[in-house]
Amino acid sequence: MSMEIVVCVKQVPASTRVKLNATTNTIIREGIEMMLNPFDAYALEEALRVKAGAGGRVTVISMGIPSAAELLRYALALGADRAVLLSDKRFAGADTLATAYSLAAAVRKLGACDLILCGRQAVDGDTAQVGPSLAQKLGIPHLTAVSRLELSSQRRVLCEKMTDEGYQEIELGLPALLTVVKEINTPRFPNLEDYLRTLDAAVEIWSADDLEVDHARIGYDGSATWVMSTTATERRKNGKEILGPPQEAAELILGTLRQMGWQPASEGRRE
Amino acid sequence: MSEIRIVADKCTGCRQCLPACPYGAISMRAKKAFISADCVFCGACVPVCRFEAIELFTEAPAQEGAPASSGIWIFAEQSDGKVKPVVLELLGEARALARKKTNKITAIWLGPREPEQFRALIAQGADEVIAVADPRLAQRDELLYPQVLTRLVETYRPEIFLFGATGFGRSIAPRTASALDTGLTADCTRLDIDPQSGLLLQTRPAFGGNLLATILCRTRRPQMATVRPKVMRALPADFSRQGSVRLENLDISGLAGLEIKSARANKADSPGLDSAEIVVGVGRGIGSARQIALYRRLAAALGAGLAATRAVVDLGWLEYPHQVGQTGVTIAPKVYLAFGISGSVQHMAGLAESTHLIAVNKDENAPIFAAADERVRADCNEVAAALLKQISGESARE
Repeated sequence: MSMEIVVCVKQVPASTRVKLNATTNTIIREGIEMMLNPFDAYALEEALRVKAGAGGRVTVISMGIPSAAELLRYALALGADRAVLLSDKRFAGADTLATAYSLAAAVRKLGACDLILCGRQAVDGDTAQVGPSLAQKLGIPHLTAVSRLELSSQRRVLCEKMTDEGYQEIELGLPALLTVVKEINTPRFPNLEDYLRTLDAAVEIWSADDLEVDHARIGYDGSATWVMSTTATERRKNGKEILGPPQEAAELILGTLRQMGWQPASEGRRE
Repeated sequence: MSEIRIVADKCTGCRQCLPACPYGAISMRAKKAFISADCVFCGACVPVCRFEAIELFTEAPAQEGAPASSGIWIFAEQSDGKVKPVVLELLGEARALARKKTNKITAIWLGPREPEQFRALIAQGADEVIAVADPRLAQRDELLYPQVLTRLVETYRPEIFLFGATGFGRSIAPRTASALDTGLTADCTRLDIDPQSGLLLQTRPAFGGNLLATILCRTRRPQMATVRPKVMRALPADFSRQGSVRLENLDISGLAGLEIKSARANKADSPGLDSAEIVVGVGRGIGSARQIALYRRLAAALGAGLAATRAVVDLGWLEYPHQVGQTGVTIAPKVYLAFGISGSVQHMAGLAESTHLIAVNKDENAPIFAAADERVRADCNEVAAALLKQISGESARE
């Protein structure tokens, strides 16, 4: 069977550069490098694997500033077939609800779709909300934290997902939306030839006018939540220094653990 | 619409705000900061400016007034018919909120009929339990639950609806909020009531824990949030508290659910990060994969969970479920024993502020020491072995 697969990706700050300035209590960012959200790389890889097995087409879609097109070209270099960027000042400042609403309109415009893959969460916002919210807007089932998937039969997919207690195996009819975790695969890198070939590849840019959306439900004005204030935080404590040989250090640590309510193991204590 | 501007008289051209912008929207023009159209009004630059030269006006989006609603709802997530610990924390927090705003607290139970659990919910702070006791709800179902919750919300119109930020809560809350077209704030670490507006102030870490954002849902109802486990405090159970139980007669036979084929719990060496009061964390500084056995034994002896940095997982020393941090899980134990962990921002983002951090590291410049409550500058494997020996000795004496 031939699969129409959509992968939602997000451009995030390359936060490996984030450090705190000890005196001004602020974030230091050397440069403003952006990258593909790490979780989305697994979603894209999985889409390419499903396509390799079943045939079909992979469309990557993102909502963001114009420079996010670069990210989508990277996805094309890896093997995606089509790239769409929702970029319009009117989309800016969207919360997860307005984002999901806009993405849903874009997915509908793409036409028939069997499988939507997203990363479990974006590492800048860390909300993990857009995937489930988008599935609801499209009226299709979703699973979060999927760690393995295989197409089981005609228009069905067998998934293993991580839960708070362990794992669940769930079979789903398509179309469905899955958010994936790192365990699912190891993303590939593009070869030089593909990378160069797609440097100038066309990315379709869609504005709010290209979508069937209620303009009162997109972007900042269409958002349900509103950031009232933002404050910088810093973890800085003047911690106690523990010196001495390992045995003494261990004793002191044990003393702290006891103070915090820890007791030596008795049967069945282990949770 | 929001507006951001640089007050030219105050801006000294110090450039401090340039790297603070996650979107690269600030540049220099005529020796003053200039904010381009790429700005999304996140506010990250505002506290950076020591001269208060950046003014951000985030006026609430123009929307109609909020619909009538009342009461605080807590989603009483259960597993095998037992309420999860985070629910009790939510009830404790809800009581604190209810003191600032007269509000009935309702626990929403989906699952088998468990009168003892209902009594426990009331003892822990609920005024009322609304239960949909249907056999199909015994197993937590990401597709079925949101439909049931949506119906309940549409019937009773709560003002606030809180979920534990468990894996399941973070799956069904956004789906439910999306169905209701209302706002949802993820993974809150602080809740309060705004004295003026009576709105729920929802505070959460953003940008890898470097910023704390306080978020409001002004005009849609309910105001929804998921709350990070182990951050709020449960009240002692008071079985003299009075409360009512309403068994909701809801026909859910027509609602679609998932086909859950099997479920398995993590094995004995499970990371146990969700519930453990002590977590032992290992970083690349432990030296090699062979050392993992020592830390497994130490974690077992302490009754602790076992956590790892991304580096350790990438090296294949431990599996992904152990990974704590921005791309792993977040934890909030009472004590975190960090062995050979340098303390990257990404790793620290997974650890609650309230946790007592004991860091053991050879490298005196390890960033983790700045955030530690106790700093042990030593060979981590030697300290871990000594600790294990002492604990084993103690257990043997018992």
